[in-house]
Amino acid sequence: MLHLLMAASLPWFAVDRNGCLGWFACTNMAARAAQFEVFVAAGVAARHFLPYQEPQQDVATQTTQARLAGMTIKKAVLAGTTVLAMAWTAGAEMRPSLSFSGVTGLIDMPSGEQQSDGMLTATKSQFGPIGRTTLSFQITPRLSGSFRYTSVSGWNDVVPGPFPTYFDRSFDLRYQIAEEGRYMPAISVGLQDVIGTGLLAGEYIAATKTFGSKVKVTAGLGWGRYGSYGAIGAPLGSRPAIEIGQGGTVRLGQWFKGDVAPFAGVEWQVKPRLRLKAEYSSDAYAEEAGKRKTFDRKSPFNFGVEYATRNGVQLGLYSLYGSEVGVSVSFALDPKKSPRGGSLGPGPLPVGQRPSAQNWPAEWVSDKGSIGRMRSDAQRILSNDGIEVEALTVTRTSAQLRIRNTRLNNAPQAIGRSARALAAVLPASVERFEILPMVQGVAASKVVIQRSDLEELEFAAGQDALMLDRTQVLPVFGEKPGAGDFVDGLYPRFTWNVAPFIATSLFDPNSPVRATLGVRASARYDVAPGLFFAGSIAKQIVGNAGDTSRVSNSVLQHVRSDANFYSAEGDPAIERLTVAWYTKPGENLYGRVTAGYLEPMFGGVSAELLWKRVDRPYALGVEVNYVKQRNFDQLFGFKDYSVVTGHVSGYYAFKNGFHAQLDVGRYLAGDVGATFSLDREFANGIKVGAFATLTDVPFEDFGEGSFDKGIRIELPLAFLTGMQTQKAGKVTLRPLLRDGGARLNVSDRLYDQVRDYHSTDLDAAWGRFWR
Amino acid sequence: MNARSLTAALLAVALLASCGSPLIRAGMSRFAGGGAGSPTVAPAAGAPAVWVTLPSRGVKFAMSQLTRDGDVVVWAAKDGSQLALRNGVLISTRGFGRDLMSADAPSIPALLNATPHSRTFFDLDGTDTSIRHSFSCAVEPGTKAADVPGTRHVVEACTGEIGSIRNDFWIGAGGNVLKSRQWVSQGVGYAAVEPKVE
Repeated sequence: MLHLLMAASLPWFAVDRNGCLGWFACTNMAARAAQFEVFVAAGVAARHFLPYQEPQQDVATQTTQARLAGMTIKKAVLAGTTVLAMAWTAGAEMRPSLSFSGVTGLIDMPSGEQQSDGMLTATKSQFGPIGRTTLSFQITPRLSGSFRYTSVSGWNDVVPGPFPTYFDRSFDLRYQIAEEGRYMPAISVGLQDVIGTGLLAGEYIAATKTFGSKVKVTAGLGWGRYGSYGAIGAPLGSRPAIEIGQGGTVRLGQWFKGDVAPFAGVEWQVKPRLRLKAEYSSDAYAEEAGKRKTFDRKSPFNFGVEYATRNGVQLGLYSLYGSEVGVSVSFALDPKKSPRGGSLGPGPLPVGQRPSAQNWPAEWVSDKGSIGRMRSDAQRILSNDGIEVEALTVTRTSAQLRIRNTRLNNAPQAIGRSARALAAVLPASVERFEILPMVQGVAASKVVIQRSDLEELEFAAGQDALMLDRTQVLPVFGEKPGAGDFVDGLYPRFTWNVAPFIATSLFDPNSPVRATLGVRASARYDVAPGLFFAGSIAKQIVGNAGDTSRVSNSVLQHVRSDANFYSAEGDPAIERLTVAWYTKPGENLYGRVTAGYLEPMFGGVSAELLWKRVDRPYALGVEVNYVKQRNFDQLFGFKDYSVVTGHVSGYYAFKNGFHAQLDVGRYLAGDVGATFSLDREFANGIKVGAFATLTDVPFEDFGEGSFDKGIRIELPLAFLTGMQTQKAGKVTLRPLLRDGGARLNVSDRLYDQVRDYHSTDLDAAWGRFWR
Repeated sequence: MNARSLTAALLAVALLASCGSPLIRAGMSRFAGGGAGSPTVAPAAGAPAVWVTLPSRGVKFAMSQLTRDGDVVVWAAKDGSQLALRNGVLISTRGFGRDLMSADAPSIPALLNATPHSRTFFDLDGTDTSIRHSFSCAVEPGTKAADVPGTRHVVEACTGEIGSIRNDFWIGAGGNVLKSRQWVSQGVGYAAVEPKVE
């Protein structure tokens, strides 16, 4: 009873389909530099937007579930917000540790090891005036990348300048050239600060060998920063000075040039959770300690002790450079290990034996009442998994079911559950099941399953691969169910949602983290399949994201760089208010037209056509938009600026989970160019990627950063919680948001809407067909 | 609030959350919206029941017979999680976390005759990818079990790439498995199944 009461009184979180949580942001809101949104506490939700189980769920159910998950919910009180942190729980006593710079390494020096494939880590460290926050991703088993935000306080104490604290962003790449063998050490080559301003620039080659099971020894050679103390020569010539300019360009000419210095260190795993480290650093901190005296570098020797908590968080305490105490904390997320082990939802309806024929009148095929009952039975069964039946057409030997999957984050599982429901409700003579997943009112594909395969393989070893071989994924075009085949009362449909949000803008040198807390109301009215109105309004409560003291110096039209004015004046703001129409004009064609207030900064008309075959890993799309810039208050008015913008987009899904996209066209500021993006996607929906846009805007006109680029991460809530939900945390991190290479941010572009139900994505996620 | 203290505050929240307190986790099911979903079918009232114990999690719960399909019996817990046994030998779980999706199972005569055999388990890793684990197994000839009268205690010992596992069966005179302790997956460990006597 106690926990029922507490559950009922809990504020609960709301995140919509494009929503955000933890320190994750909405990609569809790229209006602001980078947004970290958290939806917190209390709200009201309609069924369709926010599938939500009533708090008064069966106590026994909840208890068993809790027990299965190895936890007790008796003391349920809601505290913090960060879901993400809950996910950083890869168990990790012996995994290669992270350095102060957030890359695999010792204390301040890197090592030759790599993290395991796909590992995502976040490290926050601080010693004396130096602070670093680093996000790293093991892109492939041997290649990793890191994005880092560095701060140095006391920057002007000796050398006068505008900023009391110096902030800088940097990006690293490292590649493992040799894995550890019996005699061979693990060897990695790293490039630090590849495209930044170059202050942190350094290159290294490091080798690490494990002795026994508890000791690791690392030795390496460093250039740049890592060659600045105890140098032994400059074998590859002197290091050329570079023109930093607006930053953001690759400093090829400097790599491995100039002084080289050795570094070394040792790690000792004292206990499974406790590790000691010692190192000799080859970084002189020439700028920070030498020139600006922000700290005193007395010695090259660093020492540290690290502790791995039970849930995989690493904590470290260090002595650095003979004068400073350092602390660090790191979190690791392994996309291959769900924190809950897997999905915790209930098991499926058993297929069992085919119901015998006498359950139906002899002429059931012509009996509307019988078929109506089958339809409503299927509807009732599937509603438990958030699958909504749009139509069911039945003949003597086949059935066609149109479904809308509103809750399961795995498409094959939705197909599997639908097939099981059909097996449970249809007469024995029906052998062929056609399942049509509907996306925004159009059928994405037709998945054909033979009922006898379902019966034969229900308990077969290796059932998923066997079933996949026997399942067909076909295109759909021009098939319309009869008028009587639809479920009644589907349209019109009104859904709405009110939820709090936090929007954050990052990397402002005056205040690197700015945040706004507010409430957002959104609603959607579906008039007919594929035709709907949608809108959202946001009202700020507190925050400082709308600081207008910083005025954009951009020489281009301020299509994005006035984001702070939009934040300041848009209160309340009509973020979006649109009418959208989705259609399927051909077997492999999909169309979308969206009109209205398309995004916080632009309104107008957007039209898109996508060509995508269900059985091919590539697609081609065209989008044309005519948009006008909206007023800062984000109500109904427009500014004078209007532009025709649009792209031709090519998409390709590689077999190994990498997805590439190339968009060529005209951007919001009227500049012409191309965007290339590459994402690594896991079948569970985790995505990590990077993008870059080059346009005809010269680097000096673009301003700081030279061109638009960034990284993005998407983390499905289902992976973190084991629950049934399609919600995901999304973040797009841009070092800077300027006006060049800016794309319109229209909702629900076609490619990501339809591909879940096409062969490439279905195959990747097929393991859950039988789940 | 300056940058550093804000970062510190964010970190504190992260840390608090990551300490994995039950509070946060319970909050998560609210947060997650749909929750885990509700079971579509429930076992009939008065259906045969078993106790299932997962030693690695220190939990014990009841499951009732949901369906019988030939040799296979599907058991379901109140929350809808399922477990399928073919002649008493575990072939799948649903809703246990890292689920055993399917497996081939030795026959009871093979176990009683101590026939060496191979085993294949298919489970789902964190990316929802089906992973195949192969084992080769030897069976220790059954001895009369002292703890469960009228049964023979048969031990199936298997070795594969991921290590060694050991399944215990208490088999009655009619070839029925009365009690067992069987490997599920790396995420779940073992599951012990025994009859639930009212």
